[in-house]
Amino acid sequence: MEETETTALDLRDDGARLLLREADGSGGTKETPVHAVPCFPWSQRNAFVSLRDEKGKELRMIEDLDRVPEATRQLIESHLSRRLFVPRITAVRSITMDAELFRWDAETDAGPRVFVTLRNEYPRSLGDGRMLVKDVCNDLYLIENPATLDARSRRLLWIYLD
Amino acid sequence: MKSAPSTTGPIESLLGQPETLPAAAAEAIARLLPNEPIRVFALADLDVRRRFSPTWLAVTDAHVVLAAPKDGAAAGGSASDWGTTAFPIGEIESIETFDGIACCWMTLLAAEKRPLATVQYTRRQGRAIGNVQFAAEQIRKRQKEANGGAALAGNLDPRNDYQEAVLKSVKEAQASLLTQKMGILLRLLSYMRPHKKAVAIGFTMSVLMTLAVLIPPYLTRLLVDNILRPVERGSLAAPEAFRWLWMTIGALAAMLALGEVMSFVRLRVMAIVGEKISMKLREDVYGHMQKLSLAFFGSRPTGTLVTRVSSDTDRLWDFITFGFIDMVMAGFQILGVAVALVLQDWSLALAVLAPVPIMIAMFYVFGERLQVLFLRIWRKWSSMTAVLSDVIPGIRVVKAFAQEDHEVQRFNEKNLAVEQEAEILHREWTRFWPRVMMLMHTCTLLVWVIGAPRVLRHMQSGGAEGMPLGIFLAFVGYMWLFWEPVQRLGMMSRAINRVTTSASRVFEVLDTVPTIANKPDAAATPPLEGRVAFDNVTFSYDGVRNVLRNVTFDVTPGEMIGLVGPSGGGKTTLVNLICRFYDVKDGTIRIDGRDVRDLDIGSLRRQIGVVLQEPYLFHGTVAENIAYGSHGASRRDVIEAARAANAHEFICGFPDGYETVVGERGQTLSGGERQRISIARAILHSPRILILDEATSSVDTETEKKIQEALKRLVSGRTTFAIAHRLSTLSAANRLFVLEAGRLIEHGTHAELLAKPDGLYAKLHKTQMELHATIAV
Repeated sequence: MEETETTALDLRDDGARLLLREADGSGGTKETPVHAVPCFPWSQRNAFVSLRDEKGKELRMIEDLDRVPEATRQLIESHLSRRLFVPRITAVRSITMDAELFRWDAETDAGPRVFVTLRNEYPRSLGDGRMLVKDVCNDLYLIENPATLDARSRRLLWIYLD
Repeated sequence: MKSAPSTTGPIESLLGQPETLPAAAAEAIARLLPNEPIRVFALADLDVRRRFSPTWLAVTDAHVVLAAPKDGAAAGGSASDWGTTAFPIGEIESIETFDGIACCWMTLLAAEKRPLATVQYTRRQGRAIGNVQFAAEQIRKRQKEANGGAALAGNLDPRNDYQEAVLKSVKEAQASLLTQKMGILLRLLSYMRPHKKAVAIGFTMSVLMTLAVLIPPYLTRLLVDNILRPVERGSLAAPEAFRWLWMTIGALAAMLALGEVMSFVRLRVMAIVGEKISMKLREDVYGHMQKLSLAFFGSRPTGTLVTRVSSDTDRLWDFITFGFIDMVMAGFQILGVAVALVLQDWSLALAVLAPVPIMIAMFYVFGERLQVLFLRIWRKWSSMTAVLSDVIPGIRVVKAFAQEDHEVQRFNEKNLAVEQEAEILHREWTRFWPRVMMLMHTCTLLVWVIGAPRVLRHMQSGGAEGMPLGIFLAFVGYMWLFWEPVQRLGMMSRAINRVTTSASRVFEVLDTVPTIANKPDAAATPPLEGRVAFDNVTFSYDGVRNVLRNVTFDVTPGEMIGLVGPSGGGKTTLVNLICRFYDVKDGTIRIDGRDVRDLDIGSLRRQIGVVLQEPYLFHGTVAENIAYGSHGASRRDVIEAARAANAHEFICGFPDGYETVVGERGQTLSGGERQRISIARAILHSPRILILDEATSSVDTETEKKIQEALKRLVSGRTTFAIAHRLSTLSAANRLFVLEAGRLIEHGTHAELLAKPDGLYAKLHKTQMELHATIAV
């Protein structure tokens, strides 16, 4: 594994992927497509971001994204935000039983969403008050802070709250 | 298939997304590519800013088309509201997909990996998007082969493909649970059916007891109005009065005695029936659990499963023995007393009965609330037991890291959570109860307010008007008999809710359908030769990430195959599929030329032997552990097997020999000893197909040699799949399969694979040789 070398990080975006430019050892440069993978996606997305090539080999480890030059940081963050995107539930309009499944009608920060969960699959608590709902398609929905939701949503969710 | 836009289908109602490609979008695509029908389409439901917004992807015979509503235009509308972009398939060099936490994306790449377009979507679209990718790749392949112009095989129904792909997860989830129309309590009662006679006795006794309870207040009335008052007024002679008096007392005594006997019979009968029913439930739950697939156990903490079989079923005993009949009896008593009250004096009866509907409503609302509370407690409780079943098997690690205090604290936190939750519950019902009592007391007071003046008037008027004292006394007596079952029902609502929570946990297990099940026409698997063939097998545990991709091979009977490759490559998954612990996602696995899904699971697995890296020994003697799975093996067979496994020597060294009791998980034995016992188990089992999962990875060299010898005896003549990290242990293998990232990338003999200079096996071999050399120095 290479040393953390955040200042010498030469990244660009070709419209779909991140490309890491490095010396190829013979005087020239080569560009490798990389993925930015945070080690702690749920609790600390700005720290310990691993840059890996397409085979999953780590090329760089960024310990603190805030210490990376602004332009590069924005580039990495835009890629992270796609990888880490989880719709946040801002209101629950209804949870109804439908054919042994729970049908949720919710409002999220990405727009309204209807999804179904298994009757026996409870939202997972992330331990810091956040709750993660998984639907039958394995899609995830985050409830950031149940206490700030409106009364109706809280009443519907109360059965799951910790 | 005719489209009916007015009715909403399951995709619309359950997932809130269109049932099909909107007509306007289809028209917009048709305008762009007039002569190319759409072959496959899918929805990418996230836009560039990752908001839920539709972008439709369609594949025609020569293009991949994206269609999204233009800025400001509402989805739907007319064709001109849709912006479309088409990419000639000939230009698309490759299509790559990626998975984020909740967002997936697909990029179309031109030559030199120049990105053409990226769409983002959620997992629910994954299958449909996969269809689009597959179709585009197929068309591209054909174009290359036929030098352009080849169309995809006709007869495609894009709408149906899309709907099937989107609904697959929902349908699987629905299929995983049997639909139960019956209410939980009714279902519980259905367990009483085999005990009809006993339940009937219990019932009859309860009804009779209720009637017996109704008599005493009536006797009071007789005593006062027909004996005491007439004697006071002098209208009844003393000897006559005494005769009546003793008869009344005798009747009371007889009623009380009868009541005692009936209550005894009822309790005895129902306690036994209750125990039988909870035994039957435990039997059913455990029996059904054993049938469930590995995936079921993987997704649930052991603790909650233990709770369901043990304490949840026990709680049901309480209900069946006392709760159920008590409930019915209380109902009877309320009805009976209500009738008696009306017969005594209807106007007073109204005062008592008026608040009953209010109470029923209160109980109902309260019951709903309790249901939620009990579910919450149950969750806290199982999270507490989960800590136990997680930590106790790992107690050595806890002690080795001196984490006892930490573990105690972790448990206490969960324990506290249970207590706090229960506190909420108790606060709720203790708040509820006084309200019910207050209502009752108000009624009592009302009866006195209305009744007592009437008794007084009756006395003043010498019986001309008002109410005789006896009736009033009887009435008051009945009133208490009325409140008593109401109170009992109220108390019971807590117990009943607790029972329904437990019962629903138990039934949840019973309602889970095993994902791996015999086909109805599965015949017992005949003795196997041991030919194993994979044909284009793709598998995924979660339906999203493929752990095996397009694996194809053919293994002849008796061949030994070494499975090598980096961890996470899919080696263990491959052997899991041979055992049919899971079913393939695509492709087929054939054993002796028959699809494993057509074979009877039980008789298939009886012919497969497994030796695991961490052999699991059950609590019992060494001999029992060796004979596990081979019932009826003689002692000689056991010793022969132990000998072949190089285990006989050390077993004879134990003071108790083959009758040495090994603790749970065999903790009293060393790793090498456990391993050899599990090899002896496999030898005795004498399977046609043998699976060795890193059987020698955790022992010293000397022991490894002994185990190797034992394995050599075990392997001979059987089709064997051996997983090993140390390549040296695979020297006996006929062929080696190299798995990387779910693909079978190389296969052949040791020599053949070494001959490939840049092959993965050659590289692995070189690294291990170097490592050995370093250790040797």
